[in-house]
Amino acid sequence: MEKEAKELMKKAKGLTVPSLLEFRIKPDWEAAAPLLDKAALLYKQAGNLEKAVEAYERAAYAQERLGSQWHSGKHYEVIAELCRKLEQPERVGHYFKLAADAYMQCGKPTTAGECLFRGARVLEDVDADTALKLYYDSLDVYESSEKDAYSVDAFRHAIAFLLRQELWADAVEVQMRFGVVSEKNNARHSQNKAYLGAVVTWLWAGDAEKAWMTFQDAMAVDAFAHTEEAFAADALFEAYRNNDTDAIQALVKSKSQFKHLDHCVAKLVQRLPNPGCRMRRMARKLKKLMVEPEEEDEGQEGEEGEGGGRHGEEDLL
Amino acid sequence: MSIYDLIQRTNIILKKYEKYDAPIKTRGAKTDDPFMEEYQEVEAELEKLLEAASDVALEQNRALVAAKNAEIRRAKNVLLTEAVQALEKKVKKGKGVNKQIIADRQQKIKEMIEKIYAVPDGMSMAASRRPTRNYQKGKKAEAVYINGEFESNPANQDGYYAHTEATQAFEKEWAEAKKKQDQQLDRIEAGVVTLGDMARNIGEEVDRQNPIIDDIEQQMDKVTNNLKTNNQKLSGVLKNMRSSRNFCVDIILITVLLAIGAYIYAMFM
Repeated sequence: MEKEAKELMKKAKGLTVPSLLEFRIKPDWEAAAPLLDKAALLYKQAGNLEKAVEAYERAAYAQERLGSQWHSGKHYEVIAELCRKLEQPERVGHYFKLAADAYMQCGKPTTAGECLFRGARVLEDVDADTALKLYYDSLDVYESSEKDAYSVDAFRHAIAFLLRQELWADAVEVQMRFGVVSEKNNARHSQNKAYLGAVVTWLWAGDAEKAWMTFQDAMAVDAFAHTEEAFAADALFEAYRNNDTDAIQALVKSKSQFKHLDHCVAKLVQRLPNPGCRMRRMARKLKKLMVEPEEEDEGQEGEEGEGGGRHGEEDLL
Repeated sequence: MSIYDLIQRTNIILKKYEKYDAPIKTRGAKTDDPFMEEYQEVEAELEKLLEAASDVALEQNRALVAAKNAEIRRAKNVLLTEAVQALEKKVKKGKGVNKQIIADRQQKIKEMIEKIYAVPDGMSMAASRRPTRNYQKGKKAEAVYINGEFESNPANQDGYYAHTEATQAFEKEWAEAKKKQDQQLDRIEAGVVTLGDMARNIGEEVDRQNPIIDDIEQQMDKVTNNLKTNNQKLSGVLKNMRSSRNFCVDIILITVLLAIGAYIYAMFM
């Protein structure tokens, strides 16, 4: 099989080189492309991954010159998969990006987004930073091409990944973004769950102030203000304010809204309150925040809240 | 045209006219003040944040406001941790650094931190919002009496509503049955809530897939039309190549040639 592949590669190379004997000035990509495709496939089947990568690269280039970006994108994805088998994570990310660019060029942004999403999934364990970048890229592609309906899977996996990496601020940001997208699609239930999930994430991270602020932002959205999720979050805040671990656990078990969240967030909720967070500080902050501030005290409260917030930042560092 | 297309096109144009670009001023490799460099970078980031914050103030859609606030908070978090750390590292670096300069730099870092905290991110909202119920839970309804004013109404007769043993036992039984029913209703409620959640999830998923199906339909229509035109072109080409008239003409000509060949052969034999 390898010999055959080698023959095909040589032939294809011959076709792409301008020669006088066959009256060819410009390289003949149309004839070379299927030969390169076949050669690459044979190399892959023979198990010679390095050569297969090289062959697929040439094949992708040939398809690009032919104007068939779709096929070149497909080839780049195969290369990325082979690089993953070869355990070279940097190249994996690079090739997934090339594939996505090819798809975008032929006007198929949904495929590009899906390709980036697949790449991010593949790189999750190996290279977290590139995986994060690929997730964000896929979300951006979906947003810019207005195909929000396809983005839900990507959002869910991105949120799950960020929660596993314990990047709380990023996870909350993506959840709020998901809320916006859900609102555009008129998916109120998902939007409410996203907001509740964001509040829960901050409470798990131990930052009561940010949790309360996220809750206030969410309450400003009319669709959320009267839902069961809002009440569940409110009850949770009450339980935290009273510094009552048992109440929190009882509440989390009894209210079914917490069980209906996405599985990663639901896992966090069931383990609330986080034993590592400072309950008393959170309770104190919440006491200040949840009471209606009177006019004279407003300036003072703002400053105190900031001072408490600074302590919180230094502790979390 | 999507943003990606715009970016692609601008990149191509830039590449085409690269040679007319003014040469980029390279920054001196050795600057005397690495602290000020870092400081200026952080200031630039802060500017961007302030811009984003002012954009948020103009935004109408509350969900977008919430999302952008979350983004600003995240950026503030990043600045407060990484940027401040980088600045603190550089405090002692640089040429000719003495105690006075170090004190100055510490002061600058403190001011920078204050400025970062001052970036508005929805923290200064006036009243806190809490969810309220539209109805009042647990308000017992008043008893409604039909024919309330008439004498024949048992409610107006004396002694009708007095307790006897039987009625007390009945009331106890009623209370217990009520408690049991409440328990079972709670279980039913849990089940119904879960069903409701599942139904809503299914509904949203189906709604979400509607535009996807529309897309697929559009593309299928395009493909079918392409196929139809291609088929017609093919049949047109075939007709030109092998129309029956040409075919008959071909056969006649061949027979004529054969006949001539045979005649010449016969002549020379």
